Amino acid sequence: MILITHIVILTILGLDLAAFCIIIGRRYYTGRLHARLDSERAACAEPMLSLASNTEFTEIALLRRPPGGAGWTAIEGELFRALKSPEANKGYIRLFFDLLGYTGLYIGTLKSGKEWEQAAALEKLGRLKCASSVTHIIEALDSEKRDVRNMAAYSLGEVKSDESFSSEAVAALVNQIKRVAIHNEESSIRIIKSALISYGDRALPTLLPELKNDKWRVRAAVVDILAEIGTHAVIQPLIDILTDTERDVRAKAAKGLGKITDISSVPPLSLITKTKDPFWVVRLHVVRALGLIKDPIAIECIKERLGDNKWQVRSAAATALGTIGAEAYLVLVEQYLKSNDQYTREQVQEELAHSGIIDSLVDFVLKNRDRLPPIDGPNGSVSSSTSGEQMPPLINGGTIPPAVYVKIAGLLVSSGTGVPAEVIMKLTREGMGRRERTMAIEILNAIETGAGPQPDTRQ
Amino acid sequence: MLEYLRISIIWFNNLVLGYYVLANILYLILFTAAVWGILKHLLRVDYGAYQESINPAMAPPVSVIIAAYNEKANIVDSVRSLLRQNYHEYEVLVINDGSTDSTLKSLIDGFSLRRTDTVYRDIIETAPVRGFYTNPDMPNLVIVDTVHSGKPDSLNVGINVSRTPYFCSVDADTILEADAILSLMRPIIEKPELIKATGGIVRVVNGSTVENGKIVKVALPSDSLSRLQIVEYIRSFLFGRAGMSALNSLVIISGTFSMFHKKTVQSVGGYVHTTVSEDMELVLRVHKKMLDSGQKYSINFIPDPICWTEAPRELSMLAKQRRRWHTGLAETLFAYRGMFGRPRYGRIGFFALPYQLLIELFGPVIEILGYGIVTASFFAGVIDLEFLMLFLTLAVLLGVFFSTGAILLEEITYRRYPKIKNLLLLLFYGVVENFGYRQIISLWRTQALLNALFRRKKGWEHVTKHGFKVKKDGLPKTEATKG
Repeated sequence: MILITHIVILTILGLDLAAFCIIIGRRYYTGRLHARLDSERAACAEPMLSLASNTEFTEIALLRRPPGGAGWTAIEGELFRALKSPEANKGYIRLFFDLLGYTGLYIGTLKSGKEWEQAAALEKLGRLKCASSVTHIIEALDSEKRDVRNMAAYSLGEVKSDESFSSEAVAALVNQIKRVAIHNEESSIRIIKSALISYGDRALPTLLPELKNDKWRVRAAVVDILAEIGTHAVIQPLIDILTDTERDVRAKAAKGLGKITDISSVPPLSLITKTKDPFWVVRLHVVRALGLIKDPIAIECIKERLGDNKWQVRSAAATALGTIGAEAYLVLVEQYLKSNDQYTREQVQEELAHSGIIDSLVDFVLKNRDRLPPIDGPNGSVSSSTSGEQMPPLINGGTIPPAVYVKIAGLLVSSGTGVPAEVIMKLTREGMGRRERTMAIEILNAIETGAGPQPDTRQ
Repeated sequence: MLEYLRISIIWFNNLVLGYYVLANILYLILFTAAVWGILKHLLRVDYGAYQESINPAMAPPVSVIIAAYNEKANIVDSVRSLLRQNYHEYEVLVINDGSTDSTLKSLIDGFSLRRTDTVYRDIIETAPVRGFYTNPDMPNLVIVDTVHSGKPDSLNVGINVSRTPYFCSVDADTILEADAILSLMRPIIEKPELIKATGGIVRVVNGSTVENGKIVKVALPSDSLSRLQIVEYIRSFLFGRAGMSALNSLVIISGTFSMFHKKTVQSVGGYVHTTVSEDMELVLRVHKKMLDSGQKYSINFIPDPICWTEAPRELSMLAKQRRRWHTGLAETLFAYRGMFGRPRYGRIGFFALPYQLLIELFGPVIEILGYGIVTASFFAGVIDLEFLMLFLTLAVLLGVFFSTGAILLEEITYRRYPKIKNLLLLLFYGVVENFGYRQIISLWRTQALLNALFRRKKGWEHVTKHGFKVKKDGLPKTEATKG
């Protein structure tokens, strides 16, 4: 027993010492390696500077190093760094990659069968934007290893450039998306989408026919890509697919139109709002899209969704009105003051608070109190010609014309109740005129006696 | 009678020895699994633009939730670090859990916030919310002020306020790496249907310099207690968690920084108040729910350093923290005792939970008893001096081996301590921790287990923090004042 324990102790002691030595040795080795890399970098600094600044440099032998060594790695890193330089002649630097053997080594590695090395080579070919390697990268899309396939897709997205556009690459990526959509490989779909997005309009001839693909996941992926491409050419196809049979596709199409923010999509989106899509996520994205497009024509449609049975849609509708701004704030304030629906009022109140309009409004009231309508005057009866100073921008970056401010202020002061407590608090502070204080006290009295709109208890 | 006592001692010694062998075999398995898992992960990261291969617009938005209770020392720096994340769409929700110090005021002043009216929907029931604070120029920052109701409740408030499909909980005394969210989201982006939660490596910030919410210089602290904890953290994360994750048996994700699928958490009712270890409890509840319903799922650990947290600098604070952790472990394991050894719960029921029970929960008790009884055996003449010395030497060498192994992993992988002096100090403290530190930690954990068993003390013991070592523009580096 004692002997065994001795042996175990000696073994563990040996392991301890070995681990200790490996740590110190590795630190020493890494330090030396970095020093060698630095020295190699310093040695090639001048030629690299020439390449990066697009000055002719022909003594290629100065940069030739045996593969695998520190010099090889240092030159590779410096060539990639030079490639990033805005002044560099990229084609010329790519020629150096070819002549020094880097490109050949990368392409050769693709056949190595070693997963990580293949992926690294693919990434470098992509970074290099090596047009001549597209065929090899497309072949890698058929790899059994998912990481290699994904990196091949990524590289195809990177490798494209104006002079090296490859319709084969787009076709291969679209085929790949059809393949992975069936297996629902989310990461692969996302990477392929990213690659196709980078091709922009040039991918459309291959992509658009896939909107009729019988697999909804493929249609949904294509809709996502179109939305990110976001050019005028994709608007009509996205509008057309708003009536797709699959709800996720419809929602993505609406979301996409919201990203593009073209005014021509307002009528079809408004129509969907009126017909009330049965799937709430579609309604949500339609309302959001209408808000992002910022066309005041959509205000009435969005207003209807303030009473939606899903709070997410109500919230999106209030935010959309806030995003449109100007006249849409009048709708928000009207809804806040008049709606019988507690949930609508809550949502509107939140949007009003978030937008910063209350503070702006209070400032406006204080600065323009002589122009405000009488306390018993009709709602919004003040002429829009009443001028006041322009208010500062709101949170969403929008501004409100003074005339609209006056209308909103008129609405608030004449309604008597439902005015946010913050407004009343500020109206009652010292330094106010007698008229404003009287008004504020009346408002507070009205609230205390329970007058004004009551919360709806239907839901 | 004496003979019976002698036989009992011999049996107990054999039991301790057997336990010791078993524990170290398990550690060795974990270490091997960790090496395999970490190297595989690093190979993926290393081959270039792995992290950038997905268009940012394709990654889902995330809410970052911080529950802050009396965190005035660090809160503004922590939030600043959060607002600088390299992630395309996220919101930061700070829940001020009724702090009695100036946490809320620090936030309001630090970020020019103002009170706003916001609708609060408590999908998960929580304590009342007192107010919302926002700044128009920082639309992705929301501060929620609640009455004091504890960290779990605050996190639930955050989940209710969150508007994104994923959320991550972050401790208020935490500094995140710039790519922290991206690192945690990457496995989710790859397998969104499968992955319900992810966690990463937490590092000790003591000694490092923080500038505008960012770590600008990594260094070891001057105090030994912090250095010992640094070695402990490296071992715990690089070999413990990474190993358990590689074996698909992860039941603990550090509450310091972890990512969750919101709907899954909502479906299990959010965080609960019944334990002081709400992070482990939630992970186990998610495991249970998924396994009960027969759904395929995964809970992952990413062996990337993602965040830095402040470790206690006083022994009394460390004792509080460790007792709390161990009490939480005991409570959670007791609450989920029904999962032990049940075929339905697979690796969790057969390996992960028994490991937590035998090695993590009872390990310190057996260690403390072992020291006592083996020493008593020597004085009673049951074992001789040679055996006693050999046993103690073995215990120390094994402890040193696992610490050195973890530091080796750190050296191979992340090398966050660039100075050779720092590396040698880490190795030194990897040896020194076996002489006193490990034993005192085991003693506190034993006390915690006894307290949990006999219900003597429960609840959250607040640990005082000092604040980060900060470097302000134009000012010398200083140690922040005690908070």
